Amino acid sequence: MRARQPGGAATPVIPMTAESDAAIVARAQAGDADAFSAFVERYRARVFRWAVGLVGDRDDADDVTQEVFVRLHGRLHAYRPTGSLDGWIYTVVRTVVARTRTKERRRARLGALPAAQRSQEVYLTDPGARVDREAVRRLMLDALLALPLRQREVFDLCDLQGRTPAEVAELLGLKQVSVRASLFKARGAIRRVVLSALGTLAEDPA
Amino acid sequence: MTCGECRAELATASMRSPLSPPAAEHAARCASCARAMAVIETGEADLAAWLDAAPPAVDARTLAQVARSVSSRRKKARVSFVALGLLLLVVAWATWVVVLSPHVRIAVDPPRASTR
Repeated sequence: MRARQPGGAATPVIPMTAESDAAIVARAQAGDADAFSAFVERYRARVFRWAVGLVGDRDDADDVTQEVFVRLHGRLHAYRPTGSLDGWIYTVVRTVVARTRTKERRRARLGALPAAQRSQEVYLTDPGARVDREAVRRLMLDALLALPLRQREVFDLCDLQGRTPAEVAELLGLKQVSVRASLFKARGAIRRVVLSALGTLAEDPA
Repeated sequence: MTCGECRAELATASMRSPLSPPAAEHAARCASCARAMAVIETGEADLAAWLDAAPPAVDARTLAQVARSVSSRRKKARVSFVALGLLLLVVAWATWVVVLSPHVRIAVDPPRASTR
């Protein structure tokens, strides 16, 4: 079984001697520009990883990351160190992603081109009947992006980034049971897509 | 365990922990279920690796600079918007008091002409 670092590989490793998050935020709240830069440096990769998991596209994730830090700069004064900083930042990421998706949906309704439909079939690449890993990855990504936001984020945080349901519940401000229920539904939806594609494959005489 | 039961477990089980002993035992004997398990496991690992792979395109210093300037621009815009709104309210109120209100008063209660 796989063993990935909680928070994903993109999460930066923060040395123990580094200034604490609370201290950096306190200095940034006081208007210290260098502290805000340090805050961005520390959280940039994590915010980007969260964003890419939610939007599924790196260019869009860059835009989301940018917007998140703009909002965080504007709301830094509102942060109270009693709450989880990760949770607070994640809420902003989630809000920005939700608004982006709403705008996209509105644009689509207004007559923009429909999103390109990707193939829902897993194909074979060699006579040894090995499933194309890239196709499975794309299939899973499409299935992930088709999920409701809550299920998508829970699947990404738990199964892809390796956080426990308890950690995710704290991050999202949910009950553990809700996290587990969303995770169960998300896994079911994604794997049904993969398993049904495998079914088609099994009948393939290749 | 049947293939159907094994697939049902595969559909919702965590790939980060071992399958239940009956499902694992079945997958060890059934090539089709073993393949399904491998595809799901590899697919999730590949998806996680793909999502983890790319660093953000913009460096931290530029990102912080842009965030600061856009944020302060938005703050100024918000303040201007509120100030403009207040100004419009004042103008509307003044227009009412100075121009419209006397006319309305005259229309409602016209001054009586002298009968003498």
